[in-house]
Amino acid sequence: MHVLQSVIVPGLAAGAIYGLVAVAFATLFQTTGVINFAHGQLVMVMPMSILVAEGAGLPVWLAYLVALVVVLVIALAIEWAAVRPFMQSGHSVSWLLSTLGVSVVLAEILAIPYGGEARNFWHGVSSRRVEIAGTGLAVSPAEAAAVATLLLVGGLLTLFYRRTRLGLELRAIADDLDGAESVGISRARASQIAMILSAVVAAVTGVLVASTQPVTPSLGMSYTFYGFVATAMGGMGSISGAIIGGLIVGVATQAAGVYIGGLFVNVSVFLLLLAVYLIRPHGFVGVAPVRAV
Amino acid sequence: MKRLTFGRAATTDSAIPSRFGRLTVEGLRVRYGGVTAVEDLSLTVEPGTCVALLGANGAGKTSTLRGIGGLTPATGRVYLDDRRIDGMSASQRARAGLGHVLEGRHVFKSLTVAENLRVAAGRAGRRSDIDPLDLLPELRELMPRLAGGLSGGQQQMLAIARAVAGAPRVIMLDEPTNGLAPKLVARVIRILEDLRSAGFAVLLVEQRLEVAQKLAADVVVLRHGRAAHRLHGTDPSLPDVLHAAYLS
Amino acid sequence: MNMVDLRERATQAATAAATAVRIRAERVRDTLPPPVWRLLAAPSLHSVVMAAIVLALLASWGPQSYHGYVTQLICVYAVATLGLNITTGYAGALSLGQGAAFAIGAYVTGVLVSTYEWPFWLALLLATVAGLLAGAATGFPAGRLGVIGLAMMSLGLVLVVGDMLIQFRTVTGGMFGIPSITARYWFGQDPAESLWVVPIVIVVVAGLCYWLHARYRVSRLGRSTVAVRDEPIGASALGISGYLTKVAAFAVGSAFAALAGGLFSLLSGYISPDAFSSHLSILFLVMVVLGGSGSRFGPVVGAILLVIIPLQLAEYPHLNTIIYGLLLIVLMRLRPRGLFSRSAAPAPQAMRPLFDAVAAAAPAGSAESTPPEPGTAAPAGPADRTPAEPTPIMAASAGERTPAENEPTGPRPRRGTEVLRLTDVRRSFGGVDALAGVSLSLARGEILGLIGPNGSGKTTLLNVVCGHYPPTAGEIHLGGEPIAGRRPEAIARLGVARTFQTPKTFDGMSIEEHLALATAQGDRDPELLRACRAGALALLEMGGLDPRHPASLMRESRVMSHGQLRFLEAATAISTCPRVLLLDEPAAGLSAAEIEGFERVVHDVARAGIGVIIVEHHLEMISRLVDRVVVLDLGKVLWTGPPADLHDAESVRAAYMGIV
Repeated sequence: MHVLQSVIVPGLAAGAIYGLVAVAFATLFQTTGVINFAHGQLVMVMPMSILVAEGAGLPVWLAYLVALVVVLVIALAIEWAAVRPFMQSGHSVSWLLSTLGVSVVLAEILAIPYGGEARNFWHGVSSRRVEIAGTGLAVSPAEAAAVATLLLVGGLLTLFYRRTRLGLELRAIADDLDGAESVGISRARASQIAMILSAVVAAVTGVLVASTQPVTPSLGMSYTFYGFVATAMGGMGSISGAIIGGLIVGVATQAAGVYIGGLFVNVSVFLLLLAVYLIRPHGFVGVAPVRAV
Repeated sequence: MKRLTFGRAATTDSAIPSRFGRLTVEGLRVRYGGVTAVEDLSLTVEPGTCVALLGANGAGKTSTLRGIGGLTPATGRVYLDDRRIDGMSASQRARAGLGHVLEGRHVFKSLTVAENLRVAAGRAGRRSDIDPLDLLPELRELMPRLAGGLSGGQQQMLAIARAVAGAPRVIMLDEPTNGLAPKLVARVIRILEDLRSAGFAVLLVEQRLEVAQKLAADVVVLRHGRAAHRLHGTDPSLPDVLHAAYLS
Repeated sequence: MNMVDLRERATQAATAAATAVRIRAERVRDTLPPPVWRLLAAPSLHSVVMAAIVLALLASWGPQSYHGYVTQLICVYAVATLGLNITTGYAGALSLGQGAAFAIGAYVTGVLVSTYEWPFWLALLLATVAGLLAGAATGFPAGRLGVIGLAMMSLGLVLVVGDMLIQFRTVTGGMFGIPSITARYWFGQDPAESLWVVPIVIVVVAGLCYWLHARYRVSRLGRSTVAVRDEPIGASALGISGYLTKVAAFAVGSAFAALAGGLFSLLSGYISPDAFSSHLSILFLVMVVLGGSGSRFGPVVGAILLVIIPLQLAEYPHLNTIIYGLLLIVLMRLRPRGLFSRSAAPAPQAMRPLFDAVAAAAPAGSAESTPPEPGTAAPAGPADRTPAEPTPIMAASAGERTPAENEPTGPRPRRGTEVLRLTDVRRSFGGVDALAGVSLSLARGEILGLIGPNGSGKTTLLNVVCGHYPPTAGEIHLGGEPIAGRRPEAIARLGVARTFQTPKTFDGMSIEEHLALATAQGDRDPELLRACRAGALALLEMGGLDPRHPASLMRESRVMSHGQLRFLEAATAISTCPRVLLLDEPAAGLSAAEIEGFERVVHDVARAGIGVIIVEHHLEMISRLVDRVVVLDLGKVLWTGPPADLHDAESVRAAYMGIV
């Protein structure tokens, strides 16, 4: 019970957030072959924008709307400048460096309003623990919301890819770029749609993150890293893998924090990544690619 | 869906339905990686006819199609009827009615046969009057299968069907008989005949002489990126002309 | 005029301008005799000159002044940037952890010098070793990781090091850091009194690192590293294994960073975790990318620019970092290779064995056959050579041929033992059978022509023999030794050389460097060595690559035409003096005269004892050159026999040429 309360519950909640980052990575990567290094910062843009807008006097619901628009605009700008030029080019150094550049710019811009200090976010989901009758477990709405959101987002995206026409087109262009273009699927549009999906997930993730801890711009890089480890565990481009990977990373880091020490969380994630690459480089759900010469 | 009658003679010009178009290429020049693959190539394909580009490897055949299709940057003018399409991206050209069956097929391996056809039909500029499954009935029983699990010949059939599903006005095919056994080569030739009889303008790239001969197509022989000879597929001097082009 | 036309014209104009500049530069270089040029380009000279300039500046400003501090900071950062250039520039492995290695070095030095009162030079040494180990540990999983994985691992290192610095606060001083880091000469002594100790150490070490960085590049390891970066498949075809080069690059790069960190701690006298955020890693990256990754001088320029410019913007701290980020984005779009993009290094000894081989072949006293000393020949412009005449090399070796052997189809005396055997080799991809049971045998000195329609499996066969993928069934023996399933580098080292349909040459390397990479493996028959080297030189001449002109030897292969790259690739492959030579469509795009010259070289090396398999569509070349033809169709051998019988074989005509 102690383990459940202090490790599993918070671990799953944290893992849900990493999973959401990983799912967003998977969505963009599948279509464009690019991992958006700036995603962690994009996540933080949402709560920061809400705080700024609300601080400027807007009612909360309007602040949410404005923030969402901000996130989408920034995401599309990133797509145009740093993702689309390198779409499925295989030159990973180029897009890594350019999205890295974006993350630097975003992190700095995010630090301007409040000077990089942590701010509490009261406009999200409550993080006060509530006893669940009969189980002896206390779970906060934010924690429950995180896991629920992960499953919901994963389900919706899977439905989108499997059942909608747009989803089919995105799968097609992910499968074969030339073939897709030759039947009229535009790479620019596909890349934009993938980015929009990824950005909406980022916005939702941002609200959840802010609900569970104070908001600082430097959180962005950590979420990018953890989310990537989750993606690597699950297999790049796989949504179900991203979900599983995220939850595993969450529980593992929580366990490390509780049993070893708070400053060993990063070490444990690092070792997890190492383990994945040494044991099963294409992830637990992914399929090993065949190389063409 | 209009049913296709096979083996019908090519319709005359005035009877060509407006859904088919003419492909015109003027002064095409394709450069990549410091090499000029195609230089100053011009050709026209009328609806209901077939033009075959023949030549040795490296003569510029695939580069020509990719340049016309927009997959490789090229200069020069490309027209679909009177509409200039060379300023468009590859996907825009496809939606404007340029069908392109790529070399190496490029089917969507992780999608089923049905999904391959559906996604092409979804992006079509208009509804297709010709059901690709009428053209290639052997695909009917393969519909639920993943395209990646099909044999090479089946994938080639799927690639052709997929291009037709996009309701193109013109069809370009890049080495559709590549790697196929003789029986399948004959099947592909029949499909090309059907496409032409239906009214499509067919631009074909091939290495095999027999395809051009059996289709009685107009032949353009490419050498070092230029059109070296133009003659008819039934011209008895064709084998020698081709031989000479291959060997120098 | 549409967008494509405009873009085409803009590119043409830019290329023309760049070429004009390059020609002017080369003309200047050509006016100096090559020994002078090589001296001027020598990194040791650069180090000494730069160190002298910096010391003079420090003397005039005073080492403790603001300008003096900035100058020393530039030197320190330059060391770290040079190291990152080895990892990211030379090896192409993106490292986000240079800042972490810097921090490790700073703290090791700081703790040892301040807390334990070690002498500074010993502490610096230990710091460097610590960096080396950290880099090796990060790079060690490199074999399994792609570029993304390595980048993420290095990012993880940054986060971990950041945590550890705070965690072990008894050693590192936690958030408060380590104060009073002063230089001592030996244990227990008082700190050195002179204000010049640290500055001189910094300048000397920086100069030394510049020299080391340049030396790394021209070492065999460095060349292999760049080859793997530019074209991993081509590198494996020369027997170079990519894994070790990347681990070494990571380790050395981190060692540089740690050394720089140690210097930094001595320079500033006080360190704390604030100084080592992930921003530092990104700063170093921007320095490398801006200056020109892979170049010798670029990292230094990058360091200078990215220390000075932010200082001008010190009033706007946010603007600083935003500019770094924007620089990265813009550079990747517009000029990914940075300011100084030349990445080829000299390899002056590479050509000597080739010229020696030809000198040995020529009859003594024959005027036209004595090769001039490399470097002293008058530049042979393109106008001097007409394509139809045999080049001096071929004339020299023609002198020893008997009239009967002058014909390419004449008898070849060294045929005999079997050198390559395929037994029922199969290879399938998904559902497709690319090879459906191929058996063939190749003898020493034999030339085998492999033909067949597209999709018949010819290139797959070569790929399987070379080890790019294992056969799904069947065996392959090289000189009796089974090689099926072994890695391409191992098979190359056993004596298999290959050219590809698209030449796999190394963009960032010069002709000299290509040849420097191609060393003969094991002991070879001296006659064979000589024939191979002469053949390689002949190919270079045929390709218009002017091997006697030192300036042309130093050009990067990036600027060469497709045809020239074919000849360069073939020359490199042959100069490895292989047992088996595999040529994949070598004639594509070549003129009739060039093809003839190519045939002559292949004939010569086969005569000396190499087994050759040539995949081709050019049937006339095949019938002139080969001893035996194998026709593949749908992954099986359709027919085999002498070329003279090829045209008569009905089945071949039907299958291959599709002639009705």
